[in-house]
Amino acid sequence: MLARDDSDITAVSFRLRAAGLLAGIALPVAAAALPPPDTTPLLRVSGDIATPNVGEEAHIDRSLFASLPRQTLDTTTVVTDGVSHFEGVLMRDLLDAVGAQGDEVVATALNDYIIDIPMQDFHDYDVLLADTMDGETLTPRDKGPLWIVYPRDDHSELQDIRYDYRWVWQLERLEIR
Amino acid sequence: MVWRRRPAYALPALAMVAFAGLLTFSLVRLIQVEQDMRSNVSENMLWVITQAQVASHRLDEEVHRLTLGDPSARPALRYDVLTSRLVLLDEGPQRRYLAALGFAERVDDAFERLAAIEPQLDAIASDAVAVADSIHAELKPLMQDLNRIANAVMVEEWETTGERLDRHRDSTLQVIASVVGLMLCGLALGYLLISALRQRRAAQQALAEHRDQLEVEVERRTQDLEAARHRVAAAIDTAPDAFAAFDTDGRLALVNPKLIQMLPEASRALTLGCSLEHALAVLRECDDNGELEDAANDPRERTLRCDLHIPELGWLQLTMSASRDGGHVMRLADITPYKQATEALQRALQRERGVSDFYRSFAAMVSHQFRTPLAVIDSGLQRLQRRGERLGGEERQQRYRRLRDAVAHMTRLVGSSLTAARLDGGQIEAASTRCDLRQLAEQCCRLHGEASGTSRIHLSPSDDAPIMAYCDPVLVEQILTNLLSNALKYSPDDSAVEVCLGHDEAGIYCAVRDYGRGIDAADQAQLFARFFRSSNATDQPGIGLGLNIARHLARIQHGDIDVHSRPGTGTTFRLLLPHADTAAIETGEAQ
Repeated sequence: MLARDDSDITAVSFRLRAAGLLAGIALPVAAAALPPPDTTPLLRVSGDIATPNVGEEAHIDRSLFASLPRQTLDTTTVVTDGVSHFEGVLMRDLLDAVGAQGDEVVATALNDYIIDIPMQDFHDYDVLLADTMDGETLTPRDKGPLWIVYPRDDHSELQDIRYDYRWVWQLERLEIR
Repeated sequence: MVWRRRPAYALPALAMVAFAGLLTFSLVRLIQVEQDMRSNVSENMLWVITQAQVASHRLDEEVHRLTLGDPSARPALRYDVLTSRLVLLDEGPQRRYLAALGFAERVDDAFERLAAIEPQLDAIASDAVAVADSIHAELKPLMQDLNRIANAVMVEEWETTGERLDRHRDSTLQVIASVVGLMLCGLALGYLLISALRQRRAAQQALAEHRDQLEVEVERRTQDLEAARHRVAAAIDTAPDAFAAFDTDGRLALVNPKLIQMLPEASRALTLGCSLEHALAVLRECDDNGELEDAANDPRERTLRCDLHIPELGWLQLTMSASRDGGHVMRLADITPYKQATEALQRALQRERGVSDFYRSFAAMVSHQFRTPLAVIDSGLQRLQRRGERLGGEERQQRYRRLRDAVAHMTRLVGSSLTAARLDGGQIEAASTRCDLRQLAEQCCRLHGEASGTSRIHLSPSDDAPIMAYCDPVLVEQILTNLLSNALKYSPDDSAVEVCLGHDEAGIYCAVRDYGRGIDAADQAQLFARFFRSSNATDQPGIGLGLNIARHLARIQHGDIDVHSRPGTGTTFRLLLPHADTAAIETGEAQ
């Protein structure tokens, strides 16, 4: 607790539940073929996915990201003051769009921060993949381009350090396992 | 009482209040510790600073790698990452934390240095050592500042953690103390509970003992009562009298064997449970004394005492009294010997009175009736004494005859008076038996006819069948003699005297009828009174005892004499006697 190092955090894997079953049920509904990316991708998704568009990966660029259903979320965070307004897409919708099948998602950030997130989280909660905060687009110089935001204020059990570390910002890659 | 009861409730209440208070305190403390442990803002700071340090070193490294000709090096990305790290440090909670440690200006300096680096990023290229040096010159103090901040944050975190541990230890000690208090309260409550239970058990035991004692007492009393009941029952069973007890509802509850022995017939109708009224009705049925008939229409109201005469058994005295609880007790005592003794005494007394009456009556009659004939005799004798010498023989004979008549009259008078006195004294008893009245009447008529020298008496002819009467023949003869002599005396010498026999429902009769002067209706009522002489009979010698005696004699034979008379026409006297058969049955005499 006092002198935490990187390996302590990255090795942790919680909440391995029967997430695959629920993900499998959702799959056929949204698994449409993805168009190839036109611009530099915001996010690259690899691993067990049904609709890759570049090799075995799915590359999500801004236009593709914009085509997904937009969602908003107002919540506090542990690193900012007050309630912030986030916009983006639900992790669930994005994973459905790429036909992700697996029990956990490995999220990697630009700063090499790597975290395992149980797939179940995205079905249990409306976890947002935000690209704007308080109306401003997130940039790599802040917490952009994408930030995984949990609805912290709506569920008391999410006000826990074991959920706080899953708030990955500067998100670059997702690997479905 | 009150002051002792108060602590009994106050102590548990106090213990429970203390228990609740200590429990609340412990819980509050534990919740505080829990919340304290959850607030972890500071704990994350070391990680954030370290990451900023790493980002600064990575930027420096990438710049140099590109200078050295590595194409994969991306200093712009590393610059972005470092920028984002510093932005994070500059945000709300992080900024305040660092400001509290006095590093706010260092963060601002860091942003200035980053601004100085940014324009140089595009100029980085292979062998552009000067640019790399320039950037390094900006990064080095930034890295040193971050290093210093990291040191300070580490010290601050350890201090904070130390303080938190102190607080937690204090809280834990307080909770431990509270738990000890709770335990003591629990023990106190437990002790109170156990002592209360013990008291209750002791009370229950005492109660049970008391109950046992009561049961023993009840047992003993019951035995005593049972023994008393047995004694009473034995006394009742062996009593010489008959007992019957009725309960408060008037139902027969108890009968002793003597009752069954005494009244075997009646006791069969007296079943247990029958009513008091029924029992009295049964007794009334047996009784022929009639005393019970009059007594007690509502026997429950009062006590009862009467004598019963039970045929073929004798006399019983019935005593009934109400018991204290509202029931009734009936006692039947055999009083036959007492009754017999009483009757014997009564008879003896009667006889004594009779003797006394006889003497008194005889004395009265002698003094009253004897003077006149004695005076007649005396005056006759005086005349004879004075003038006897001068009287002729015939006249003297006549006077002698008169004197003898007077003496004869007196003799009759003495006889009649004796008979009357005997009757008065109860000295004459009828020796009744079956006899043929016809035979008696015939004999009487014949004898009387012969004695008086007349043939005026006519016995009415009828069939020769005997007319059996139950009577004393001697007394009947005396009565008939009297009736016949009267009939002859008070009727003309040429008229007939008729005697006829007969019987009707009442009994047997013998009627003596004359055709004489008759008797006035006014005199008929007194005809049988002693010394009464009818107003039209004074010409005939008589003393007024004959009919009186005759009727008396008839009555002691359970018969009577009646009279039917019409002045100037004649008189009929009838001697009535009981029929031999019915009388024999009534008196129970066997022929």
